Formats: sequence, structure tokens, C-alpha cells
Amino acid sequence: MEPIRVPRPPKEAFNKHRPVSDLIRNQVEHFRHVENKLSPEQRNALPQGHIRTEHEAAQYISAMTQLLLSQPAPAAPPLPAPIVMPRRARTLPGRVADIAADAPEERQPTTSKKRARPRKTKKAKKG
Amino acid sequence: MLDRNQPGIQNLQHVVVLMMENRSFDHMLGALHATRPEIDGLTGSETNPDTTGIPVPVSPTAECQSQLDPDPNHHFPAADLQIFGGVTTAQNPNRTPNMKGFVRSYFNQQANVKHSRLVMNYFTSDKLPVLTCLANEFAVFNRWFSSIPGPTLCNRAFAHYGTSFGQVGMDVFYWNKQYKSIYERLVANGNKTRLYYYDASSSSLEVVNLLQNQPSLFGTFQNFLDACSRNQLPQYSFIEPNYTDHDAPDGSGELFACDQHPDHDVRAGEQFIATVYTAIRNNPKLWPNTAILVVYDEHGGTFDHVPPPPCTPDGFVAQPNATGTPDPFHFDRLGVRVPAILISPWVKKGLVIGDKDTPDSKDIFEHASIPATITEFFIGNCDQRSPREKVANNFLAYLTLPSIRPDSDCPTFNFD
Repeated sequence: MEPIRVPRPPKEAFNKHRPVSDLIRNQVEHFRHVENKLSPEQRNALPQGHIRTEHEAAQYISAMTQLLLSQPAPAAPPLPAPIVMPRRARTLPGRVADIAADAPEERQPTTSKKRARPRKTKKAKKG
Repeated sequence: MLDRNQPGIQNLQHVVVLMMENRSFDHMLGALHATRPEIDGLTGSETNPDTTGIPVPVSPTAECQSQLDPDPNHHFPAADLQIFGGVTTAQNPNRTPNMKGFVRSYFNQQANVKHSRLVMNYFTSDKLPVLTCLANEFAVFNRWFSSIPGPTLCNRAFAHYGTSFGQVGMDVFYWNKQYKSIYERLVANGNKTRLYYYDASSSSLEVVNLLQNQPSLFGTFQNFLDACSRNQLPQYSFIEPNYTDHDAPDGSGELFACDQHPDHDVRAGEQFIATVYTAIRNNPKLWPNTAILVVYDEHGGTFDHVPPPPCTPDGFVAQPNATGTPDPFHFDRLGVRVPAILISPWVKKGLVIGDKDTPDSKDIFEHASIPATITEFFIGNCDQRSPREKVANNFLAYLTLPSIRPDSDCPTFNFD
């Protein structure tokens, strides 16, 4: 079977100044809800101002996401309700930190290191 | 009940769900009916009246970008209009879905008759080579519906929790409700699972309930690719696309929104779907034991001709102040149909799930089928699940081939 060609979007399709959709507006609102629980110092470090475009939303969401990921592990969440599991032995519930410990290679991204990225379109080069 | 004697099920170790954004079945795959009549797509004769009363036919003229701006309304009242054609329960307590209100609904946003007709456009197969190829080469569902006739977040909640806890909108404050997320269930059972969002700038839509409280459940799309290449894919992965056009944090380029949410360019989404597929397809240690489901969260206001069927009530009621209509909603009817494709080398080539002429409840799927399937396969029985999830069909039941398809029989993609 011959490989199927996958076209990329033209560079004109990229518009980071596009007004945010209802979906992104709600995502930002949910982050705002979480932000309200942060300390004044943490909140001061976040991008300020009204969010109108996808670029502005991305900057705020990035800062909030990285902040949440850098928070100390929360206390173990309440025990899940009993689950009947006939096939496998049950482990202690709620030990979410164990997941990360089990998979140290699945790191969170940093911006300081160059690494392979998902497919993306770079700005057009001459020639 | 899943037949665990099937070789495909016995080999299965990983399930990957990729949930895209806001396109209906007919909008994306309706054109396939012309060459494959068993697919319940478009004949070309389907119409919706515009506000002048003129019937607007479906048209194979959808463009990759620029036609659906503004984003067609798909909140509960708009979806109700789209599905019931503007007939209210006050007018007819026994109203039935007629799928005749899409153009009128889009007109309500701009009062532009010509522009409102664009919501009837659908893609020709050449514009969606990836989705078309995967639908033709693996299994396509004729009857996968969004869970609620409403917007993104309540529908995605069904994929995570098997319910939206009574929500029909974009509020998602339901942490620690009675039904645990599929991720929490898997963790409690000793399974590995991850929600992969694209990057920090796009992040997850599960902010309030999971990202805030259980950040270790999450990874980036790059983490997903790394996990594939290192043969460390979790047992269950849920992938969220990039929701915004934004610059790469390291300055290396521009990152296109690849969610296919109108009015983002669908080609970026095609690339994204192909990237997920290729990461697994090209790894011989993953491909034989991984199943991929590509599915869309809801229809995004775009036309579909199949009336959503009634369903098992969810035990919740959304009152009129939440639905934005004169009526409460008892979660007893599904939302508009969406594209869904099951990919595995154990799936029969060109399988169409659900006979379009003889609808059967065993062929109807919705997003509660996702936690239902993952729970049944990885955990087993689990009583504390929503009524909808308990009756949801298992989408892994179609890994039925007696032997794995040869590599040469499974497509590959060549990226521009």
C-alpha cells in the first residue's frame, strides 16, 4: 500500500491573534477559578490583563499549567469508593505520586532544552 | 460482554483515545456514502430550510478553514433547535428529532442568510486524506453520538467520568462526586494511565477536577511520543489536541491549533491524527497490542442527518435555567452524531459498525462507552458508575480477526 500524503496547513492559516473561542474562554475561566486559590506572590507572577486572543490565552494558560505542575503533591485525595476487581490485585488507592515515580522518563516539558517536538510548521524560509 | 478469547483482545495491552473537537459525522465522513453505501453518510438530497423557507441542500464544498467563522453555536438551546427544527415541547409534547434546524440556528448568530447556509457544507474525501484513509482501512462507527446535545465540556466529561453530573454546559465543578474518573479507577486498580495535553500553552480542559488535584496524571504530547518510542506507553492514554495557535515556547516555530475546532484549519488536525497513528503504527512492539479510537467530542453546530436516539436516563436533571430552554433535560437523549474510528491491526479492513437500515441498540455508542470499555477491559466489574456508563457498549468488541493483519495491509502516512 502506497503511503498516504498528509498535507500541512499553509502558513497563512496560523493566526495567534484570533479571538478566543467560547471553549478557550471557558478554559481560561476555569484557570482563573484555580488562580483565586493561589497566594498573592504566585498570582503576581502570572500574566496580567484581559485575554482576548489565542496568543494571550496561551501565555496565561502556560503560566498557570506550569505553576500547577510545580506545586507540591497534594494530600492524598479521598479514598475512592470500593471497586470490585475480579481480575487483578488491588493496590493502595490515591497514591498518585507513585505514577510519576514509576515513569521518570515521562518528564514534563521545559523550554530550556532543545528536544524533538510534535509536527509543526515553521515560518517559511526563502528558497 | 467482551469476548476475551479473541486473539486481538488477548494481545491487547494499550488503548489510546484521541478526542478531537466539534465536527459532525456527515460534515467529515458523509461523503464516504457515495462510494461505500453501507456508511450512513449523505446522499446529497438532505436539506435544511433557511429563514426564507428555501431548502438548502448539503454541499460538498467545505473548506479547510474560513467558512465557519463565527464558530457555529452548539450550546444546548442551539443544539435543541438544530435537532428538533424549532419545534418546542409546548407546541408538540411528543416532538421527534427532524434535524431541520441547523441553518436557522446558524442564521441566529449573524442574521446573514447566505452565510447561514455554509453549515450544510461537508468535506470531500480528498480534503481529509487521513480521516478518510483510517475510516476505509479500519472500522468506522455509523452510530457514535455525542453524549449530550450540547457543548464541549459536558460531552468530554462523559469520556472521563461516564456522566457530566447533571451539567449541560461548560461548567465542570464536580471533583469528588460519586463517580470517579476512569483515571482514578485505573490508578486505584494499579494500572498506568495518562491524559496527554498538547503542551503547557494549550494544556488540558480537565483543569478544575483533575489537573489541579492530580497533576501527575498528566503529560504532554511530546511525553506521549517519547512513551511510544520507548515502549512505555501506559495502559490507557487519552490525548487532547492543541486548542490554540501559539508560538513554540522555545521560539522554534508556530504551533497550529490541531483540534479542528471551527475555524481552525482541519489540515493541522489531520497531521495530528496521523502523528498519533504513526507513533504506534511504526513501533512493532506497540502496533500489535494497541487499539486507537479517534473520536470527536460533539458536532460543533455542523449538520448531521441522523436523529439522535433516546437513551438510558442518567439519573440527573438539568433544569430550564441550565438548559436555556423552557424544558428540563433528563439526559435521556443523545447528542448529534460524531465521527468515530477504531484502529487496530486486529480490526477487519473496511468494517462499518452498525447497519444503517436496521438500527440496533448494540450498535449505538456514545462517550460513556469510553470509560465503560476501559473499565471492563482493564478493571473488570465496577458498580459505582453512572447508569449511562453501565449500559454503554464496548468498542473493543470489534477486534475480531483470527490473525493480525500483515504490515503491508495497514496504511502509512507521508508528511509534507
